[in-house]
Amino acid sequence: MKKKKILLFTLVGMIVLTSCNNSFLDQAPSTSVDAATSIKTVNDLTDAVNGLYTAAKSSSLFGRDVHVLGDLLADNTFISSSNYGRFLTTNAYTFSASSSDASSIWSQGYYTILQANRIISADIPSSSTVDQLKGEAYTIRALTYLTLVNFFGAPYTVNANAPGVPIVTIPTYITGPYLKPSRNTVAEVYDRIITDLESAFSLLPNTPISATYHATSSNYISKYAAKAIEARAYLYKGDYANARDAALSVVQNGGYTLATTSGAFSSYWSSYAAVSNKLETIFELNMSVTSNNGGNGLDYMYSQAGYGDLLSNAEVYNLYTSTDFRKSLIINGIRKGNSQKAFVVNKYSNVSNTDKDEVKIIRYAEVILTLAEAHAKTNNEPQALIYLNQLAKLRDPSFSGYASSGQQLLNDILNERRKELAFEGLRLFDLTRLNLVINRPPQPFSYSSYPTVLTTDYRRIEPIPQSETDANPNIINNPGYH
Amino acid sequence: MKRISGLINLDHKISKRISISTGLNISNVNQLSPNGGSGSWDNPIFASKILRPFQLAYNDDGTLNSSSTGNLGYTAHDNVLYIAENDKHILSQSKILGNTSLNWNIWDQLNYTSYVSVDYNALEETQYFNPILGSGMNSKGADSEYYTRYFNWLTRNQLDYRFNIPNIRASYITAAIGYEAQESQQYNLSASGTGFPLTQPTLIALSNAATPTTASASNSGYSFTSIYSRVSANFKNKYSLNGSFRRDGSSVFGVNNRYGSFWSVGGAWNIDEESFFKNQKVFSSAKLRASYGTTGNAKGISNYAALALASYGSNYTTGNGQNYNVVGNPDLSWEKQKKFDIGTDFGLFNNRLTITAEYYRNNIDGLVQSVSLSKTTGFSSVSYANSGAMENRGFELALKGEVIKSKNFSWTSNFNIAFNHNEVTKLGNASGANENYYLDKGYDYYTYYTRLYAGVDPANGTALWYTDGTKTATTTDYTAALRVPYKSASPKYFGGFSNTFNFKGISLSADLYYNLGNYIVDGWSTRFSDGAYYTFNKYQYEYWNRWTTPGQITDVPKYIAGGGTQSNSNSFSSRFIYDGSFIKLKNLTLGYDLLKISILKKKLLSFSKLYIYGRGTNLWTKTFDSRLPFDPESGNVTVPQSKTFTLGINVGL
Repeated sequence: MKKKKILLFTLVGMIVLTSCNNSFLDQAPSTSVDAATSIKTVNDLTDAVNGLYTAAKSSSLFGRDVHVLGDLLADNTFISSSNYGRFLTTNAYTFSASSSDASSIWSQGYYTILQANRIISADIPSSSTVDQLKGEAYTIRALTYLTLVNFFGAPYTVNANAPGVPIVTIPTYITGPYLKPSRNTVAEVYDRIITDLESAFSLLPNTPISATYHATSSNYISKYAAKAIEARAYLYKGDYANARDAALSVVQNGGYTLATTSGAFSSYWSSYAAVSNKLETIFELNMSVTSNNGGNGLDYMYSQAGYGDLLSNAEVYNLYTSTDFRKSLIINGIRKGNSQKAFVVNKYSNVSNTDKDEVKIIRYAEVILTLAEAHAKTNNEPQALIYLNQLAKLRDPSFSGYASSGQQLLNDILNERRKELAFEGLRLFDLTRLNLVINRPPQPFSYSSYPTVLTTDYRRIEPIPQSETDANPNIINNPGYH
Repeated sequence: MKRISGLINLDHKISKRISISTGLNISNVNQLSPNGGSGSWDNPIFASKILRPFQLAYNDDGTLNSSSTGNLGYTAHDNVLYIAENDKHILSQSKILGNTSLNWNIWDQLNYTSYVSVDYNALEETQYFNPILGSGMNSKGADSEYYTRYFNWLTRNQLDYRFNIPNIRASYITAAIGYEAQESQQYNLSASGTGFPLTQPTLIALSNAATPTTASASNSGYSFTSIYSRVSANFKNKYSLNGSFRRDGSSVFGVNNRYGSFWSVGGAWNIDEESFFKNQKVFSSAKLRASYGTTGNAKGISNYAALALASYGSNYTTGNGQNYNVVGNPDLSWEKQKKFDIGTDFGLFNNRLTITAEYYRNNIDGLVQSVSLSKTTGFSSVSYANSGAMENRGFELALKGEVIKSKNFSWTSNFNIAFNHNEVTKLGNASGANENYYLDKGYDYYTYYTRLYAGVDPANGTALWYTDGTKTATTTDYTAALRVPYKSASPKYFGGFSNTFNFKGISLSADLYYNLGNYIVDGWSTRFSDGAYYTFNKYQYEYWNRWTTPGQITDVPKYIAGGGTQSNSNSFSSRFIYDGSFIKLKNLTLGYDLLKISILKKKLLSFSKLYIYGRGTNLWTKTFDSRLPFDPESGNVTVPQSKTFTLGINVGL
């Protein structure tokens, strides 16, 4: 009997003690890996760079909000009175720290910068592919900082020592999540941007590495895309000599061309595919059948087949002569919602297609205009006129060309810039860097209007989001916001 | 909704010492419901509030209005009637629950139980959006198919022993020790496509789509182990003492923080069993109990919360994309609670009145909550962090009595009330402003943080806010008003009050419950108030009370379509925080015991019970804030609790 009892106890004991295995509590996700060791090979690095582009093309950043605000805060577009409820506070200039359309630009901007930081600090032995990928990351980081400092900080040309945005270059799995940085000055941010773009330019190869990694598609950053963005950065900084040199470098070595016929021009704009022949586009973000912003896309805001809330101001339509190719990009038509006449933007027409329009970040035409302005500002008006007219005459074959000088030439360049780059999210920064009053005359069928934005108006700079200042007491908000 | 279910339970004694029992429960539910959540334009409740009176549901010829243009069409929102007919959201859920337990009386008072249970749960979901009106309009129709499968299993092995103390009646010690392991695995599969035939409304299956747009599948799971033990001693039915200890481990925590040890002690004293108790006539029963223990909480934490992750899926052109998108928290550990409890039950008047009173004090440390971060880290919050501590202490009282008890008439009454005080006792990484709430030591965890609304300027109808908590000055600039801690969402006291009356077989019972002292927020106030969102309908209160003439005193500002300079008038402030107290008559039942009729009782001998009744549910609600525009229990955009009337009959054989 005793033996039986002992046997029974041991049996029971065995059953009880099985599955006392520590690894039973190890569970691993099926679509993720540990962040700190996620980039170990060149393949991982390529995947991370793809992720970086996807972060940048979110509708909260370059995929829509940056582009919408760049024209809506300026004098190019307005929100129709018949609308789906988006961007109303921006339209009426009634935004505040607790409700602003720019707050998602802040958070998505830093999320994109985090991905770039992670790629740049990846510990992989250098090779031409690794260099190219890191160069792309440097460029996207610089572009994001350029956008952030221009939305949330004063223009460099107005006050370079004004508070800008915090500069973060180390990934969060190293710094820990409780970091609360304060704002760097606008000048420091621009230094960071230029340094990054210079690093990018030296890392990026002249011809992109083999077809496996990033062929010659405009969806990826190329060597002269980095240089073109550098030209934009110097222009916004008011450093016209360096802007001129950067832009000239792109013109001479980039291999980009402009559309020469109206047929080529309209087929360029109506195409939803990326460009591989360096026509017009230098860099654009991909929107594909399987990966696009859908109802949250930039195209959806403009096209009447989508929401169509964002309409062109009448003044913009009247800028173009009837022979200007660009006039076809605005349709004198009807706003779908209230069946009233409206000027509908036609730059993003593939809303109803499964493959969507790419979002253009920088085009060759901008570089030419930058070069013209830089020449004019560095006492070389003849060169300025050459480049200005090169573009203007290609766009309007019956135009005989500009012959102005002095302030009138600068006004002509600014005007041509407005005509060329309307609805691409850049107008606001031209007005703020030149410290000009923004005139937003009331448009038909629009409830709210804010007709004059003086140079002293605190709303020329976006508020730092309240969720940031609540969590981070080291950040002081811009004047006028609480 | 269609539901089928079946259940079988089987007990079998294999031998003198071993018995086995097993159960199986299989069910399937098939339901059709609106697409989209509470804030979606396809939600009929939400739509009933936002659609404006001139948007017609039907055309003149009787067909449903599916126009998306013009003033009478659905330009900004959807015609929910059309959507309900043409969009399909189908959910079919199958569940198999099985369990088996083996009980082995090893020897004398030693028992071994082995228990295993399995839960297999499969959901098949279709979300179809029609191509004519609604969310699928611009992609010419869209369909998504989801398959989610959960497989959860649990196994427990336990040994129980009981030792009867010899020669003392009703005295024994029991002990138990066991081990439990549990795992849950989830599989998700989804596919979507767009481009459906425009005039074939029955063809909603995904294969009919012209362009596939998504295909994805993933797994997720968690596991849990526990070693536990319990001891209890009972002496002469007068005194009992118990204690327990357990060590739990969960996969959701950081690798060094997985395990937590928890214990408790408790005791009870049946005072009414004491000899001195018989010497008094006031109390008919009395018991005292108390306990103190620690427990750990891992509920509500997502499966991989502790890990900092880079995830795939953010593909670009044709390449895979990975992003560092989960900040994780390797220090994440058990939220620990220390709870002290003392209570007494006693009866008076021969137990005609029984009273239960209880006091508790619960300290929660390592509170698992979301901590806001500076967005410059690339993240807006750590979703799960042990941050801070809070205390809940309170008092509960329940009275139950047979107020009147006579031959033909009786009245029993049941009243209970609970008071709870909540206070943050320690701040961790989360402090100060926490979205709409305010976290600080000494404050209720759910204290609001808001600007104070100061009404409307009678001269011109502009909205005003107090500049700060002293309420000495007002401003028309919303952003110039400071936020202050204000009221709280926690109720001060709550409970119920039920009464049952019986007169010669007729019974009437009424159940009330009440919840008093809490404040609730209207999350949709920006859309339903004032002019900033003019494509939405407004509350009636707006129509009646908005400022229109100089000198008018009201709290609703002048309506400016588009908002104009007043576009912040409907932003979050104390204007939209309402007193959410309510008293509700939940059930009112009137019934009759048919067997009281002697003729029936004689004729229907085989019936042991025959009772008919009529019951009304949710008949009456009293709220305490005249400005509150919705039921405080159900909120603004969810299906409100409806008044229902039921007629029923209870039969016992």
